[in-house]
Amino acid sequence: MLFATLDPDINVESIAGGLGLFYLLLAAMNGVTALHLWRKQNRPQAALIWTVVALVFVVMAPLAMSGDPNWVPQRPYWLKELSMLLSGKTGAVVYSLGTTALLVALYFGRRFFVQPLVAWTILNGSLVLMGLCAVDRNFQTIVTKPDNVPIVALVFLLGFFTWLATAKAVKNDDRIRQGLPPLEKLDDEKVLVWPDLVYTELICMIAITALLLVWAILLKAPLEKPSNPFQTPNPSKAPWYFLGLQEMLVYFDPWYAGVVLPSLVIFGLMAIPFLDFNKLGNGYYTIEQRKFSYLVFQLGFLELWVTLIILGTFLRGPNWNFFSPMEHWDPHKVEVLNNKDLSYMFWVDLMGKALPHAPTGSGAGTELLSILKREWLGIFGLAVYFIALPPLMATTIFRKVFVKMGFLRYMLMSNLLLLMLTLPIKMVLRWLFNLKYIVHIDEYFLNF
Amino acid sequence: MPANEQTWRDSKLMHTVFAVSAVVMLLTTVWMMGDDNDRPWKDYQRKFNSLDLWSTQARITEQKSSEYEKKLEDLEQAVKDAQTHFTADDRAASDEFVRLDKQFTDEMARLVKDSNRDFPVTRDSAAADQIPKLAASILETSDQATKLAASLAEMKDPEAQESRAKLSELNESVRKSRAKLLDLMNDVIARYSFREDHFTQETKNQKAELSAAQSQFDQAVGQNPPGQTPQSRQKELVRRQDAVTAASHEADVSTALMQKAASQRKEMERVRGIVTAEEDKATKAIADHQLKVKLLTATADERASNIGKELVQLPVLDAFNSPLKIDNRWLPELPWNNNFKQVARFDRCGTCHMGMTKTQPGSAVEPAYPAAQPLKVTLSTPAKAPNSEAVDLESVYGFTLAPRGALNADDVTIFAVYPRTLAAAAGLLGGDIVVAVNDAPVLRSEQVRQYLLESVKWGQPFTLSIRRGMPHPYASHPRLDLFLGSLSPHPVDKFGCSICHQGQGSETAFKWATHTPNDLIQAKTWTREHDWFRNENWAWPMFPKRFVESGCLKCHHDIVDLEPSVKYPDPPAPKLIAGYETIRRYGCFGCHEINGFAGADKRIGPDLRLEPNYYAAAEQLEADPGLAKLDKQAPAWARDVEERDDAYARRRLYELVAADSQKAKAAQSDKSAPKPALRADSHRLEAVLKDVDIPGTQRKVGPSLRHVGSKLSYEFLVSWITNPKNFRPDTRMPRFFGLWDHLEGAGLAESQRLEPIEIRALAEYLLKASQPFEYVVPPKGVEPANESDKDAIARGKKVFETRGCLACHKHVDFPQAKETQGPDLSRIGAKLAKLTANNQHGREWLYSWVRQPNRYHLRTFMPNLFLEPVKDATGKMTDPADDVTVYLMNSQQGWKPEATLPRQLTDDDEQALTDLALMYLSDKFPVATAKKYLYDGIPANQGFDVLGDESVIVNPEQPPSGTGAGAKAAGGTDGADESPEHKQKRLARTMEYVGRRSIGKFGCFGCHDIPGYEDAKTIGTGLADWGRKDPSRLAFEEVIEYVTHHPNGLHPNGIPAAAKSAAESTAKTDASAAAKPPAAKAAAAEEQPELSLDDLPTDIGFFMNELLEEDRTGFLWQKLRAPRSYDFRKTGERSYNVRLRMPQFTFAVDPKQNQEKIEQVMTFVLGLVSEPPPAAYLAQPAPNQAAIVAGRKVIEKFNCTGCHTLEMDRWLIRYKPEDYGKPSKVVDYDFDVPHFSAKEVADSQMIDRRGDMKATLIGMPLLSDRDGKPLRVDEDGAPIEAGDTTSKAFYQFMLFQSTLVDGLPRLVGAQNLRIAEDQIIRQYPPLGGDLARMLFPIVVADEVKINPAARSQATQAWGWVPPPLVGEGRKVQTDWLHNFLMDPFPIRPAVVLRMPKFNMSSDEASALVHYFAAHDGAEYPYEFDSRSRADHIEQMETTHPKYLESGLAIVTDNNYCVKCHLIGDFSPGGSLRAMGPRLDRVHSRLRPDYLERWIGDPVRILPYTGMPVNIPPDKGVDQKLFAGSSQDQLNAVVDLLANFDRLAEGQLSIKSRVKPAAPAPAAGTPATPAKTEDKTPKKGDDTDSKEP
Repeated sequence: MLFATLDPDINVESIAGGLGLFYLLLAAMNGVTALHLWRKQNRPQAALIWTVVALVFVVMAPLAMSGDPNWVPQRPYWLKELSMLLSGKTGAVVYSLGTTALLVALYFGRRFFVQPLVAWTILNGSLVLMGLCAVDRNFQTIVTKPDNVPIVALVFLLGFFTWLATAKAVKNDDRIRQGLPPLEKLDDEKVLVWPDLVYTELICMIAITALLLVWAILLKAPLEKPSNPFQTPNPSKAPWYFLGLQEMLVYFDPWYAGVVLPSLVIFGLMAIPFLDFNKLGNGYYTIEQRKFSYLVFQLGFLELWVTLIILGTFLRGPNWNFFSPMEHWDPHKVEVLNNKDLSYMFWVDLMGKALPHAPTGSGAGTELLSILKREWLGIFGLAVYFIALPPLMATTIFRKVFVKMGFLRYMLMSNLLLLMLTLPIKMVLRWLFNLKYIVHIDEYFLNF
Repeated sequence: MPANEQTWRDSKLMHTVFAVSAVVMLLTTVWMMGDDNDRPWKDYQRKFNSLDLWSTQARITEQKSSEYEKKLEDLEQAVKDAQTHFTADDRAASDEFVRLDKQFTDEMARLVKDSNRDFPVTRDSAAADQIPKLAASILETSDQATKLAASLAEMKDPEAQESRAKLSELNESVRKSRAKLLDLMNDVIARYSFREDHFTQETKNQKAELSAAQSQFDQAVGQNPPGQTPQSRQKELVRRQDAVTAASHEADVSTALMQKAASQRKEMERVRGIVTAEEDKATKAIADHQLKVKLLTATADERASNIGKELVQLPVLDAFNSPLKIDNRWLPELPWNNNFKQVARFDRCGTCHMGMTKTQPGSAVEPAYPAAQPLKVTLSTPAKAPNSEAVDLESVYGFTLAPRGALNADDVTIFAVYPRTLAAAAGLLGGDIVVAVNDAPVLRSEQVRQYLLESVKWGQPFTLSIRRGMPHPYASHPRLDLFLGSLSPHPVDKFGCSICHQGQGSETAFKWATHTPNDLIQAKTWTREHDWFRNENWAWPMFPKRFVESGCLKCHHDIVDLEPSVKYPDPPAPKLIAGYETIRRYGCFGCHEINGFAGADKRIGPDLRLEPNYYAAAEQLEADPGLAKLDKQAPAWARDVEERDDAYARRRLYELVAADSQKAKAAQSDKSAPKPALRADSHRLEAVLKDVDIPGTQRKVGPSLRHVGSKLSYEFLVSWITNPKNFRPDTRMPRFFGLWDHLEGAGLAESQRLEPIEIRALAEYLLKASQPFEYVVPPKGVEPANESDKDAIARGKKVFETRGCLACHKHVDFPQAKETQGPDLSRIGAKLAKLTANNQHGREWLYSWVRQPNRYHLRTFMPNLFLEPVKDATGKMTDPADDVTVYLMNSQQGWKPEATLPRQLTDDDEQALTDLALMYLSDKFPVATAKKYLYDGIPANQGFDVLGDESVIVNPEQPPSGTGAGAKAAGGTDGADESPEHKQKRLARTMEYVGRRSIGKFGCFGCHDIPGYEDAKTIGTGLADWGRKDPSRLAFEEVIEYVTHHPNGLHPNGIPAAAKSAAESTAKTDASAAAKPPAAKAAAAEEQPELSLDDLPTDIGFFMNELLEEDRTGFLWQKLRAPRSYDFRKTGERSYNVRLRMPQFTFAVDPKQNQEKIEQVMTFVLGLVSEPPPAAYLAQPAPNQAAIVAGRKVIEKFNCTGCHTLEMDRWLIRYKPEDYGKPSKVVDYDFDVPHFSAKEVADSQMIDRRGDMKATLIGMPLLSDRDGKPLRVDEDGAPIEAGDTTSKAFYQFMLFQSTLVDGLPRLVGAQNLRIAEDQIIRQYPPLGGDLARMLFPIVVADEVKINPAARSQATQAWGWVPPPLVGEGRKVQTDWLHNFLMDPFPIRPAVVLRMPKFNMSSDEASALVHYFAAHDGAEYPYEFDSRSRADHIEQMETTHPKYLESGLAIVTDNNYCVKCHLIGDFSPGGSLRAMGPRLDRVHSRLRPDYLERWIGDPVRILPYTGMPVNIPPDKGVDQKLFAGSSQDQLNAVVDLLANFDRLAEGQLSIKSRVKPAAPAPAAGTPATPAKTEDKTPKKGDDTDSKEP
């Protein structure tokens, strides 16, 4: 390690065995696939390709097991440099925009991506990428941390289920277009509680218990040092399921990101059954018939919730700074945080004047007036956003929806939607204009 | 809903899945339980149990030697013989037995009847009646047998055989009949036992009845049921009372019967015992003989495994008292601090470390399983081949080999070693693993047998390589005398383990217990074997072995109590003490406060703080002309503070300064207010003079620079500051400048440019601020010698050698001197010389310093040696101080300053100076203003008072008005049109300013007294809790990059590289790095070989790893090794003045030693955690011990041990019985007869398994009077020449404390013991006395020049060197010693040097006095002297008129005291060497008890003394001189000496000197008040103070 000529960020000693097994598992996985393709689907050509892939993994496994830094398959250095390049300076921008772009691409290219072999290739690719990156000391430390293991599992599980649902939806959409009933309607029979439900549940319970036992034996509880008021952990992270919320704190004042938005999430989720008037799509997967709901869900859940969790888990390091996937979590890293309030931009930058301040000792009324004068632009903007936008939308893009939903439901829906969208909007504003707060009323701890 | 029974999923498949998942769950559950049950500690416990069993069995085998078996056989035979033994006495006893039986039965029957008990008392007549007859017949047979046996000796063989058969027949018959007789007796006695049991039971029942009756009565008294008349109540009470009385009576009767029955039974048994007496004795002898083996066997059985034990070790069942269990030690009083909560400490270390507290059998402190270590022993062989055919190891050598090893079955392990055999003599122990025999490796037991029995040359010894002891966790604690044992100061039940070692005590798995490896090899081994990892989550990882002593500091705040003591001669914490010593000497606390107090009454750790700077403040005030204006007394007060630390004077000064300071403040706001008298600068001293709650005690370690101008020249100062090691390689002054190893590029250039300026500025400032000094004028009558006068130099050298200089200083002329309390003086002359260092006053200064050190520096440790002029042999007066000055001025070693910086500045220098000053000044003023101020000075009248360092650039003159100044200020100081005068003044001001700021920056005042810095605070980080410092708060900066990738990083300052030799790398750093251009450095970087941590030396690798792990240990190591390296690549972003300032310390010239010292210092610093445990756990010595601790600190401070021996050598020897013969008989006074307890005598006579005895000797080996080394002699007592290796060497040992050898007392002064070299087990060195030992051969040699016969009595020369102070506490009176320490005067004319005067406070002197008294168990602080009581003398006068005068007669008799001693105005004349101390002062010096012992027999106290026994205990002195016994005579002399003042008083008449005064005024007449009152008390005062 000391004075090593090799990349100091590479650590293979401790994981060589596990990595070898991992590649063997990949080989077996692809082998089975090949067998399946050949025997069941009778596609020898495709089977051959996957056999070759499996063989590649068979070769990689012993290399990985050798534990020799010269031989272990590892991420090319440029990959690290690329990821640093992409996100080193820009922080969460590339990541957030990238996930959005990915979501868009997946949506429009869904027909391509749901093909099993494409998905399989992507799965293989991501697993190989993980294997290659696992030799990176920083990547390894973060990914193998016992409390991060569920998040890694979550990434793959979520990918799988998203794929599954999308694949079924695409199929159903095709069938619907052809006038056929969706797949789920074909098997519309009722089944017995015993054994079809309870027995299955029992088996699941047993299997899950066994899994949890094994998990508990292999991965010890990641206890840390006794808490110390004079030395808080850096970074201080919330439990993984709250990391999305914690990420919002970067952009909003705690009262909004920590209180209002989470409450609204719950409230909004509760309101869905009352807002959703679309009878289509009940009991089967479809996208075409519920485009709006689908997109809102994908945006709200995948992008604004899950990707933020992943961001918070893997990419937020000491001081809540953004770190690229293979970057060393250096507690001394400092990011530029020269954010400005909207009022400052308006008064100082644009008008070239000082921010209006009530003279010291002036009464509450004067103070309020001066605040209004100072923040008028932000307040005006917010008013437009929340008050003017819903009617405007009702008369334009949501005209049909408005008619169907009626005033109350529409207003509720549109406001919830707008509230949800404050997050991405604020993120973009922050990235583009270094905007700190749209409305900044420190006097009453009311910032937005 | 489908009507059929079809399920959605295939039920067969579901069943299969269910079955599989159920099995999986079962397996995982089993796995979980297995995982839970599988704890590594269980293996350790199993293994330890088997190890313990193995050892027990080995010990059983050792006990059961052939000797043992033989004795057992003999004892069994004795029992048999006793069983056939029957005499007439036995028969008489049998008859008595029967008679008693009859008598007792009748007696008992009568008693039972009388007491109306229904119990049949009958006699076992069937048995009893047989007894007499049987006894008679046995006796008959027995007599026959006895007769036959007696005649057997005379018989011939066939007949004898027959008779023998007959005899055994007879004996057998006796044995059988006797057994029958005893059976009968037992039958009879059984009846008595039955009776006794019956009555015992009955008594119990009766007593229960009685208790019930009593309780009913009590209840009746307490209750008062309604409706009861007083009469009926009374009746009821009476009834109850009667019941109690009746029950009580019954109980008494039963008790009486029971007692009777018991006494009868005992009596019967006694009579039976007469018959069995012989047999009982023999049986008991067997039991005694077998006791040890039985106990061991019982232990072994207990430890052996069995089915039951195996069973309860199984999972689940192990809940029921499994033999494997966790050893919980609950220590609620020593909690862990878990930030929010104190959590009780659970130490479970004993769970795995089971052998930790085990001791060797028979010893309280010897570890049973010492930590594994290789050993070599020499095993002698018999001189001749054993003649028997079947030889084995046991019969030849006395040991056996174990069938299997204790831990590893394959180890060739010694099992039993029988006492007093060859193996025992070689020191072999059971459990030793034989690795090699004569270097031939051993793999199997047969090989050992083969080597030792077959391929053996009889008579030639073998060398066995063995491995002794156990690896962890089976090993025992190495210091059971200090730790764990119930008798040790740290019993494990009270302290646990983790309070000292740290670590996670509650853990039972290796990796979670946070063990800390001692080096990387261990770390790797642990990782491999135990999955060890660096656990960052436990704040208290265990100390690695190398820092284990750090833990001591938590409780031992005084530190010196960890030094070796009489009770614990093996140093308890040598490394920590060494670190403390280094810190103390190098004065780390000058910059880094080590504050042991959190508030006035909370002790948190060791306290090493500088003492309050009172004396310096006083000196500074004295230099202020305004002081005398404040108060006429003020200068005198200042001197009192300086010289005596007088608190009263200091408070007065404080008041004055404070008042004046107020005045100054007022004057500032109000121009008309009175002006202050003192300079503005002096007002800050107010803060220094204040009282301090708990003042520090450490003096600044460097010399004072207050008058440095009188001592040093600019040239020397510059050279010294640049690199102190150039002048004095082992100096303690660290290096501040030229530490450029880590610098590159611009940072380096900046250092190269600015450092010379700083050096110049420092030197200039010191010289400028230096206060005037008056040199000591040589006494009249002696002429200063010429510096090249050979005689003077020779005389000076002698003075230097003999007058004690070498106790503290080193000098190249005297390589034997080692002590470094003071500096090495080998080159001192060059420093002070006119030629080399351009020093005009060097010699004058040195003379003053030698004569009176505290004239120059009030707090110097250098004492006043009283070098007064003497007349030499020719009658010429010489001045030793001048001689030594001349000698030292010639000690130069040709040194010349290497670094020279001309005082005259070049243009570049001027620019650099201005830049540097600007950097400083712009901290306080805007840059433009700063520039202006620099150019013209700060105007004196610009409206605010300039205080602090900037005050030196105040320019009292008006700045030249007009154009120039402002313009130049803006444009810099190009000096184009600056007048030379202005420029000169400007540069002088700037220089002074930079000098001041530099001193402040580098904290020079931490070690030196520098005028103007009396109130400066320490500049470094406090260290009081550094050992707990969070690594995240340490600025590692780029140091890791530096040590890993920079060529200088790995090997700064001479730490040997793997690739380069130490010499090279040292040279590299010494030759200033500036010589090497950066390009060359870069080239070196490329040449740097690739290294890994494993290539580094173990220690360096360890620390380097700690550094790479960003641990505080690594930080500290690098900080001490290369303090500035943390600036690596940081200079670019930091201003020059905020760069790191810590200088480079070199604790030892040798890099390896330096590294060791660094580790020692680290041990200390890492122990500073400021986490004191509860008071009960703190080391709080008993008053005596506390006095010793306090005294030790003073002893170390003033280096008392440099001259005096405080503890003599202590040798442990082992010897064969009677090696030392019998001591010669001596006649002693009663009080001199030594007393030893019976236990001590028994211990001394104990013969160990090797057949040796042991003794502890306290005293000193005789030294050679030629070289001062211990004298080695051969068997005949002739000295062994150097190089002679064949003769057997002996040492002569002079006892200083009577001791037991072979159970016989050996007295001090009686006879030196001759000790063979190989008898010495252990030598503990003496404490102190190096100078005395160094001087010994010198004074002998000097004396021989005058008196050639002196060599024969060389031991007497010990009386001419500084005396050992053993027993000093019982010798001298406390107040005398105190006065003596404060103001020493010569006592012994014979001594070649005299006690110097140290600058010691009265408190320190008291601490020393108490130390001696406490150490020797004498009374202190006051003692009562019964001999000087007036009534004592009066009483003696009644029995012996003219008592004291008679005593004086003995003293003044020409044959006795006055032969050698001075007394009053009398001097015996003759050689000084033979002269004794003054006797007229003895009464105030010696304790009378000591005096009595001393005069009684001086050599019992001081074995080398030349003083004879004047009053022999058997003869005494002439009765004409003093009539009485020798004890009476002795008493008289002692009383006289103890009351000499009283006697002398009688000789002095005052009356005759007082003129008769006018008669006193009559009563009632008012006296003239003023006059009388004024005078009388004064007179009274005077007389009062003179009287004592």
